Amino acid sequence: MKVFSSTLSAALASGALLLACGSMVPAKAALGDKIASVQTDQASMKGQLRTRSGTGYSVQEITTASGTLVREYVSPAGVVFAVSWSGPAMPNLQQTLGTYFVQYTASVRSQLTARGMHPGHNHVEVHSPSLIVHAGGHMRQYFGLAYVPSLIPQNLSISDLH
Amino acid sequence: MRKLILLGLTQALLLLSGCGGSGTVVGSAASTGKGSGTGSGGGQTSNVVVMTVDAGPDVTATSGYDVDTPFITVTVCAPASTTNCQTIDHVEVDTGSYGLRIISSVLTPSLASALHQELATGGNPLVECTQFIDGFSWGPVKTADVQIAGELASNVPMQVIGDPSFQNEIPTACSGTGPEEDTVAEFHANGILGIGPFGDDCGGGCASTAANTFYYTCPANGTGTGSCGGVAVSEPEQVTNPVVSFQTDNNGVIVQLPAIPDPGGAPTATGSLTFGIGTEGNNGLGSATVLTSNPSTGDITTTYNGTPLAYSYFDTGSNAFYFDDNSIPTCPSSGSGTSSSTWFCPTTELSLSATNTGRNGMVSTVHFQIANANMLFSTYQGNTALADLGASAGDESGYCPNSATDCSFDFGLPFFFGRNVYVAIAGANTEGGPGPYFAY
Repeated sequence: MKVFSSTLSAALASGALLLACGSMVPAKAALGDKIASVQTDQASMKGQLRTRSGTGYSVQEITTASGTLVREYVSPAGVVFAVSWSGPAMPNLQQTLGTYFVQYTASVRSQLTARGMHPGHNHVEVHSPSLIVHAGGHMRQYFGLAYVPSLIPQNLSISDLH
Repeated sequence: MRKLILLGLTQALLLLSGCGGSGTVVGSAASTGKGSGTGSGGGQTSNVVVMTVDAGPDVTATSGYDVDTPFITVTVCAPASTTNCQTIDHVEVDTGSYGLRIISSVLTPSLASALHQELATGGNPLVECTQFIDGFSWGPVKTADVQIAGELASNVPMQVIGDPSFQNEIPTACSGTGPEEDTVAEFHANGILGIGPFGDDCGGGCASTAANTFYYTCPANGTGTGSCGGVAVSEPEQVTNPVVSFQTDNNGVIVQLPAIPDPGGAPTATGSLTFGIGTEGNNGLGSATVLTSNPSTGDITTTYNGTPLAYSYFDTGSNAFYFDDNSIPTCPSSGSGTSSSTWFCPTTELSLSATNTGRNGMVSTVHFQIANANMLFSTYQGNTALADLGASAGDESGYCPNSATDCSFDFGLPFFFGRNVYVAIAGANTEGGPGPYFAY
């Protein structure tokens, strides 16, 4: 957990926009969104955000106040093509999946009410041409990965992400 | 309504602790459970409740049915009451969660009104946003007396899911976690009993910060998404695994299911849930291998195809083996409404193995079969107990902490057929050492 007071003083000192720490994830790009720039996001979330580079993509890592690590995978064109989460609480998927949240919940609901057997509480699989979601885990440790296949950078595979 | 026979309970417990155990001795994989009745009444010992795998409580001509979901019957009473009680069937047994939760519409009005509302710091009702992977369940934390078989948990915090008093003020931090599951139809059970390896549902994280996203303080009959505020809750006040509140037999549980035919399974299966590890004549570890767990998550390490997966688990709340193996084909989309599923569809049944390692260094290799799921769902349509059901968890490297590879193998309910699986609660002492651990 980041120390709140050092985040506050660092953000004020740098003159950057102070973004609230807490269960509200600070304003940032959701799945499918184009981020203004990695440097802008990094400055405004100083102390809370880590950015690192992979091969052919960059990752913004944010630890929410509930202790969950959310990763946004950003293409060279600045588009968030995948998001993942790991930690003791679900992330706010409405914020993290952005415009894809409606499709996500509709797909999970339709599986809950479909004819045939029901999936259990501890896994979600969404497979559509525009959205793939794998989620699993249990109380105390939740995981998930959501991505938009058409937004994956060329020459990159989901299995390359880490 | 059902009376608690407290005097008889005391006598029964005294008898049990003094003798070598009555009924089937746990430890034999071939044991067939404690009888086929659906009630929690006669024919079973005090620390054992019948557990049944069946289609669930809400099957209609057009609805789906539950597969590989185990259920028990519990009795919930108003605190300190022996008359204001209700026996509730089809409560799902879940080693992947902690605590008892009952759907509000299942409760009789007289019981619902007599449960004691827990208050948060500040004096307003305590309400929880319980997060499952597939959605959330919202409802107040209330205390009740919970009786399961002959075991009584007095004044234990539980959750009443979908209580009308709080349904108009679900905060966006909760509704943003996924679809809502607050009715029997959405939840596919009348309730859920979380008997995993922890004593409370959230732990230290919810005790130390108000922004934990699980617990909220809300005015009764509030409206609007801004009515509730996040609140920290001490662990004893969080929704509690009732087992830790039993007078005895309170250090863990044993999940037992019979072996079932391969590959087709069975229409239903009857096993048992036993309370206590090494506390009675019928719940000793015997020759089971103890695998101690990650003290924060309860996970053990599974090595599959040479890759160690440090966030692996034994989960009766998962209805299949879930793991990543892209050499196994997944089923093509079918018209059955499961086009988003990732069931495995090998051309012939696969015999596979995985090796589990505890933090204590103990090792156990598991052999399991994966059958073609489409074949199971068509040829054996209606069978709710399937031992060879598997599904792809997809590539996990994108979310695994500190890992460029997969990190999780979920042994769902199919693992439990033909086994006795012990779940020891964190911090509790057992003859196999302190929990958390799994043993089988």
